[in-house]
Amino acid sequence: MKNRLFSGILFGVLGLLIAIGPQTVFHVCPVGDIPMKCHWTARAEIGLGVLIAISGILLLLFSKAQVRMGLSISLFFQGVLAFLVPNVLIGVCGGIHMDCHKLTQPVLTILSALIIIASAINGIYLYQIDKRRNDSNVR
Amino acid sequence: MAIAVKNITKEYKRGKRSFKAVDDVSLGLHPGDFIVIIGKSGSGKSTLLNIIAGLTYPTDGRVEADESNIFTLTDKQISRYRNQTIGYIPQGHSTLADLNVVDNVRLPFHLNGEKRISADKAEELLTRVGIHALAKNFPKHLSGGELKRVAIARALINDPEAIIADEPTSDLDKQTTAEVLTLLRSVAEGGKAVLMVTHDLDAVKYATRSFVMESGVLTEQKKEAVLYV
Amino acid sequence: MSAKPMTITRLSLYNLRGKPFRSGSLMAVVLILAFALFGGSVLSASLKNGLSALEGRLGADIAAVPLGYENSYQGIILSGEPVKFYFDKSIEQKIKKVDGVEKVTSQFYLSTLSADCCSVPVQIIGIDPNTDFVTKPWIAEVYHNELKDGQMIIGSDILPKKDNTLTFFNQKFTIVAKLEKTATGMDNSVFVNVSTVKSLAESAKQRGLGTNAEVQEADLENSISSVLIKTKKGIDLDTVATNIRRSVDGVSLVKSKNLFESFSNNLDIINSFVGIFSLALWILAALVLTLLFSVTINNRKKEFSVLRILGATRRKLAGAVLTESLILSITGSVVGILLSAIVIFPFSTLIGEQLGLPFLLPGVDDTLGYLLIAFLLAVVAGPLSAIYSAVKISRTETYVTLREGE
Repeated sequence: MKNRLFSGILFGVLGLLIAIGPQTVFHVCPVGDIPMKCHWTARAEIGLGVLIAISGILLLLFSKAQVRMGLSISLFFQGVLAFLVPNVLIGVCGGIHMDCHKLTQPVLTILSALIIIASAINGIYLYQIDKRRNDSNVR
Repeated sequence: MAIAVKNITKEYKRGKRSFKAVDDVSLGLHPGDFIVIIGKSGSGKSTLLNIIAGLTYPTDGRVEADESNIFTLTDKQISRYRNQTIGYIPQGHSTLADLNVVDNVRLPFHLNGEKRISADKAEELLTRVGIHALAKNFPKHLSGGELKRVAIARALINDPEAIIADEPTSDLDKQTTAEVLTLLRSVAEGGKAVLMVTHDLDAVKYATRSFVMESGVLTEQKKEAVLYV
Repeated sequence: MSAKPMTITRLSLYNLRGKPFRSGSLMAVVLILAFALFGGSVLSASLKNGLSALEGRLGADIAAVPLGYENSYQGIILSGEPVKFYFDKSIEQKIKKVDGVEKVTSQFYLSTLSADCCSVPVQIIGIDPNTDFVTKPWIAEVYHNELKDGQMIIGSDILPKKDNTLTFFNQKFTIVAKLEKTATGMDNSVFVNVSTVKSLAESAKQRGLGTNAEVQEADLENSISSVLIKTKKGIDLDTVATNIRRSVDGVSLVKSKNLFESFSNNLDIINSFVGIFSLALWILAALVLTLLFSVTINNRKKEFSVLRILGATRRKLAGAVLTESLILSITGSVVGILLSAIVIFPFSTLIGEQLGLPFLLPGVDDTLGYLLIAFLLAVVAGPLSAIYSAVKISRTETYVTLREGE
């Protein structure tokens, strides 16, 4: 139960930060004449962040270890995607003194890294719990 | 003889007056003995146990194990004596809270740097004291009687020559007391010398020899005669 | 069943695990210490690096700029804030004749619009290849030929397009070299020869692109932005500056030494602050840890007396205390340094900007050095603070004191 609450809230918060952060707290560069790369990165991260937050809420709702393990695996890849979007797939603006480059990108990188690490740990933890339960059922 | 206590005297100073907590006590611990020392609080029985365990140094006298006086040993040697030659059951709850039952039992096995695997032996002892099912539990989930059994199993892990128990039944109910005393008696019958101090008169029924300690003086009793204490 | 021997290390681990709050608070102290030690040393080294990069790039002893533009000139060097200001070309020759001046060269500044996608305004610096002595030494590190028309050398923060060109005011430039990072305004500048920058300014002026009053009004052909001066050896800088002021009107002088010194002084203050703060924090952490260990050990007398009764030597008891503190110290240090690295490295640009000082992260070797030193200093704090408790617990026969009290 503790794990359910903790992991659910953790991924919910991280997801929301990824979704809303680039628009607010660590905002990307303002749109000028033409929208720049970071604008599209921010857009893509809204979708990804919401998806991650929803997965987090689902972790809160489901109690079965196997379902939660599946959610963790899915969260792992969502985290990888959230990492790739600002770093590889879309990227941010080139100038290193621009907001999106000096602030948004590192924050998104750290947040997505947290999701990747936390989902991996959660997945392994749940796998072991599931295994232990199966073992004791066999006995 | 496992351990020989020879003319032990321990003097304490209280203010300017000195008094003898232990007064010229001699005692031999032989395999198969279940020695019970009965005495009130302050009679000096705990001091005597501390001296036998090498925790307190006497003013006069010797405690001999393997022909040598333990009070001439180095810290390392006397630690080894406590670890190997005697098994001590302290008063009250003496298990380590952060270790589970089986780890508590096997702890002394490794305190002398022993690296061999000890879990099997620990589990065997837990079976012998009747709490094998609790091996993986932590002390906080155990009752007073169960904790005593853990302490007894722990005292036995290094196969010592003598078991020394400091009021092992002081905080137990009547039935549990009987169980613990029966267990200690069986340990003695298994070839160990068991020495316990208590103020519980019932313990005498289990003893092979019984003593009364009063103002530092140890007197051996006929079983029927101890009832006045 | 667990089959591993119950060593002192294992015992310590179990003890730490059994008291998560106690272990956590002790670890937090070391964590904060390691965080500050590593963060502080990297920060201070970055500023030192930035300053020496600045020193290496200054080149000229005195810069003459149009009256009132000293701060704009400093902006070019320190922050790369694009500027444009002009005065008459003839000033260069006037200054050259002044007593005590050894060499002069002129530069022409122009700033761009935000040109291509995402590029912030860039400072274009036109150098005079015939007289240049300021930029040549460090441009030579990356490019050995003379800059021809239409060629460009870019600062490290400028990103070229894929075909290695950049377009300013509709003119395409070929990039021939990229300078190393300096953490100064140079990183946000591009260097071209003076005729290129002038034709660029001219065409921009005619088309009315991104020009301001200065550019519109200037007689570009006969204008320069600054005269950079090298003084003769053995002559006092201030004397030369006075000489220049006397013979040339309408210029402001910026002495590189002053520019450098003001930052150098700031840096000294910051460095000594970091040093004193680190030392104070270390002492404080050691004191807090000593206190915490002492209190917890007092509460654990019974536990240690049991160990003693079971046959642990004095040395083993002390070992158990020290092992616990070492485990806590190592964990705290690793986590603290890791957090520090997560804050400093990804956000170094931001930190540099916020500090407003040249900020250049140290290289990998140096960083590893600081990491090692911070780690060692933080790690020893734990066991060092636990020594008192370890000695105390191994000196007293606690079982006796407990039992005799009854």
